[in-house]
Amino acid sequence: MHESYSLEQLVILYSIVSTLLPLFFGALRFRSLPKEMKKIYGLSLTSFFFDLIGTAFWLLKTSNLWIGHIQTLVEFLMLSSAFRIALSGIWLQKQMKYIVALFVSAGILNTVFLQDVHQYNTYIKILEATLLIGFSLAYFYKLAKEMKVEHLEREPFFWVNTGVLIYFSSNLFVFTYSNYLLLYSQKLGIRIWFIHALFFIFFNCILAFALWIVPKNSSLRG
Amino acid sequence: MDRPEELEFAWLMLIGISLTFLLSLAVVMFFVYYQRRLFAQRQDMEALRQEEQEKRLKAIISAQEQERSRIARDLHDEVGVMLSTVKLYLTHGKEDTSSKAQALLDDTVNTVRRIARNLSPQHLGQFGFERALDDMCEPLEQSGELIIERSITIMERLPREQEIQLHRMVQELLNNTLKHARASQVGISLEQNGREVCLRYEDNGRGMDLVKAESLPSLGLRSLSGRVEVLSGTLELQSAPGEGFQAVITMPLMGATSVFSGMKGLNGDMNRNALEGEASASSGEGMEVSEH
Repeated sequence: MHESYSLEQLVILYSIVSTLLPLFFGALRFRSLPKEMKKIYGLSLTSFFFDLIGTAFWLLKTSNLWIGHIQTLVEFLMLSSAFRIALSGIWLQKQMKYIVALFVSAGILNTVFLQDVHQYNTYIKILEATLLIGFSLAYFYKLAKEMKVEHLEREPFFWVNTGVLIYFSSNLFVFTYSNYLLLYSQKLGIRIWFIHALFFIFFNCILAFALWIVPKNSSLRG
Repeated sequence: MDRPEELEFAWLMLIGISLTFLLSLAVVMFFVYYQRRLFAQRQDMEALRQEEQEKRLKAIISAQEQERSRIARDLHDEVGVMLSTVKLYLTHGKEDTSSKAQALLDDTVNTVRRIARNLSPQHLGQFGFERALDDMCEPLEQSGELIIERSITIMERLPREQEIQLHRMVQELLNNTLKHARASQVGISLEQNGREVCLRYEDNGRGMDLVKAESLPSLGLRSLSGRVEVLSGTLELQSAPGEGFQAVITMPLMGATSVFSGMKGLNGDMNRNALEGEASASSGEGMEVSEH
């Protein structure tokens, strides 16, 4: 079965396995996970199932673009709820529920009126990436303002935040031009999605590391 | 992927992805560096603050030690000698020794009283800052070499702790003037501005170079600055060689209570009269600072 796939295709195909890393480390520390990290664990869990379904459809050579429409909304909901906890104490936190409501509405309207389930939901992906980059920068602002965390490398959500910033900003171009990729050869599409898969694996490794460094009984911090 | 426009698109994508990746990485690295620098700065400031606090604490302790040494010296050199002389008179008693011993004993009692007053201003607790300030200044004025103008415009009695600290500050400043300034006039004023108390002190002495004094502050100035800090106040000094010395100390009012608060009605008025009477009766006494 693998003989017909290139190395890049295999990396794209098996990038889903990297989702098991945060799931594994998250399960080891689950009882100790603070609320925001539990949301991140939930993100990995849903991401794994959506990717599993997506891969199955890809192997069956059936369009899996519709999954992306749902996955984007769920992904944003999970990440924004984690950021809502992490950004406690700054003004943006109070606006989060409105941002989430607007985002979900925009996602539904985009699928119904602009980019149907047979296309990539690029507009919403761009909006998602932009908002999450904004949240990520707001988290850095909060850390600098409060000056409570001296050892950043020991702060799990700092790693999550770093992963979010690098993954979503690096993939902004991929999300923006993913519909254009369909106009070019499959080879180019595979190359670009291969790069995306590398960032996806990197993101999952960072999430796994963040879940691994959660200190035991840290959820008692409240 | 051989078409030129496809190649161009691939390159553009690759450059775009690389740039955004590097940019986000740079943001993270900058933040980590910035945050570490902020923490390092905070630690440096904390260390400086602690060092300064230690210096002040040492100055206060040292001032206390000096005070103790002075008391010990006073007791040994004055009271001790007087008592020994009295003993000598009584041991080798002649006819006229009894009156001499009595006079010496009177002197001894006065000296002990003076030492005790210097240790804890007698009238401060009972009649407040103004009266204690008078006690401190009058003997100095009686020497005829120093005129001390005083102006107290506070309507309420300050908390005892604050009064003691203010008294000690004035003592410290007066000591400074007597030791170094060669001044002929001193002005002391204490006023209340809302919830703040402001103590102004000035003399017309020979002044000092504040830049030098700041780099090598005297024990007295350090002790003064430590006392001001304890009361969350601010200390402003103004002086130059030949231009006298001025200190302005501002501090928040520490939950002030009225002098006669709690004394209401007829009984209160009676107590008030009694206190005022006592105050005027004992105003004739003075601190014997100038004797020293």
